[in-house]
Amino acid sequence: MSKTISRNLQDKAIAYVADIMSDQKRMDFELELKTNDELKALINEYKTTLNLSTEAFSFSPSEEQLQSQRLLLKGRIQQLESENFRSPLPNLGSRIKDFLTAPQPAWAVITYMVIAVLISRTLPLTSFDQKLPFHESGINVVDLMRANELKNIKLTSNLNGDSRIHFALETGKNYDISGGVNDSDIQQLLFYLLLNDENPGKRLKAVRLLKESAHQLDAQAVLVSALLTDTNPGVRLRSIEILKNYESSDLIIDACIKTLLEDENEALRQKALEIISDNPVEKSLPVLQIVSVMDDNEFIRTQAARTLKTFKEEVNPEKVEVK
Amino acid sequence: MTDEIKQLIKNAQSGDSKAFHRLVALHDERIMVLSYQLMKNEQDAEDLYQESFVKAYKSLHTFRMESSFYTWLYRITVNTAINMKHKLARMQLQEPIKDYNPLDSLAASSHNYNSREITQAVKNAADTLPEKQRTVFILKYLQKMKIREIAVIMDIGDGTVKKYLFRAMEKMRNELKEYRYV
Repeated sequence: MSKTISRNLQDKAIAYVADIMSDQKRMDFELELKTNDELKALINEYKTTLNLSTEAFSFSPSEEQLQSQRLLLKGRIQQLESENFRSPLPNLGSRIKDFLTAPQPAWAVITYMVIAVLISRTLPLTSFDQKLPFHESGINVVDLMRANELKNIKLTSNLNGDSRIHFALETGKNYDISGGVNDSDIQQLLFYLLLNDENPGKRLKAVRLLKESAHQLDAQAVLVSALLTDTNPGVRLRSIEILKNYESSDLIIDACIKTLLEDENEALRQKALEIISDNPVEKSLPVLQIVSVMDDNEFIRTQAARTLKTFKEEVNPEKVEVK
Repeated sequence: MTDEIKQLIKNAQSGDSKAFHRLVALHDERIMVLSYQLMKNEQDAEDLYQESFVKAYKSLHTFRMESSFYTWLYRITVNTAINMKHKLARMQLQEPIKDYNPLDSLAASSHNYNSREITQAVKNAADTLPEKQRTVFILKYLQKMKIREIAVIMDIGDGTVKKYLFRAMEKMRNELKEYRYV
């Protein structure tokens, strides 16, 4: 077809279709078009290509999707603002006191117990009998944690370039170790940082890196723990975003229920609601009923009511009294 | 830019986050659509939306009202998309590449296409374009922007925008040959 049409004429045809010609050039081109059938066919081909492209890329976001993204963005901006104003040392004493004295429903206590059991199985403090020599550095990360010698872990670089994570461990001796995100010792260090480090920046970095790791039960428990206890909304948000990609479990659903009911951050409640909505289970029904009426955020209330309606159709209808 | 938008920008620049979120609500639909067109799927589009607005929030103090707020946001979104794609491409390098089977295209030529297949073919064709050509194609034909606006967003000359546009269109036409008469 266009083998006999010059490159210059092709460009003119595209400019014509794109409507970027000056009036004079357009008139000249249209004169040529009247007498050139091959050029007419080429114009039609360009127009069809454009129509196909416009249809293929047509996208209209729903108001729900936009609202959800706005809430998430609000959470991120709040996190940025809180980082700008945070004190260098968080008040750990009052955090622990507040946490311990807050009234907890029975299911929440059970959730904590499950988390504690899972963490105790996987975290190094209980792995006294496991000897896992770190193959590159020759040090035993578990032993260092057990001896409480990991006081200043520096995450010197991360997934840039070589997709390996580098840690500088300051102990009796100084160590530099590195490994992939799925390396057991590297994961233990990331868990340790996420649950123990006082610096929210390091905790955020740890949770970001855990996003790249394979989905495992111990990682799930650590992320749930971070979601329920971390004081930084950014860390909690990252944790729940990763958990959203995990296969649903009672542990995750219970954590989401608690988050939906209690977290002050709208974006977190929204994310928790999304996970609950994707995984209809009976125990979510009363929670959704409460949230659909009581949540401070109108969008979350509406979403909860909508999810509730869907659940009532999907979850054992005899057990649910629809009023 | 309306007076309301100008006032919201000034308030947001003074640290009023409510004003910033109001600006987001007024502009984010088009940014979400652009994000979808620039990225390959909805999940990546949402990530791009988030990253773009976080960057906008961080650099709002640099906005001097010399261009429209949309143009400024588009520029941030386009640049963020390029960075995100590079990052994604690095990650995908580690995944095995699917073998090309020449029989696939042979089978395709005698096939009755449904709209889903055509959509996929168009997206695949767009993916074969170099990054800048693809971006110009999207901004011009899908976002209906003017050549000058695209030049400002991409920080290139008008002539370069046209050159990218011509090359992109010609390549798309060739790539979609067999779908034209469906």
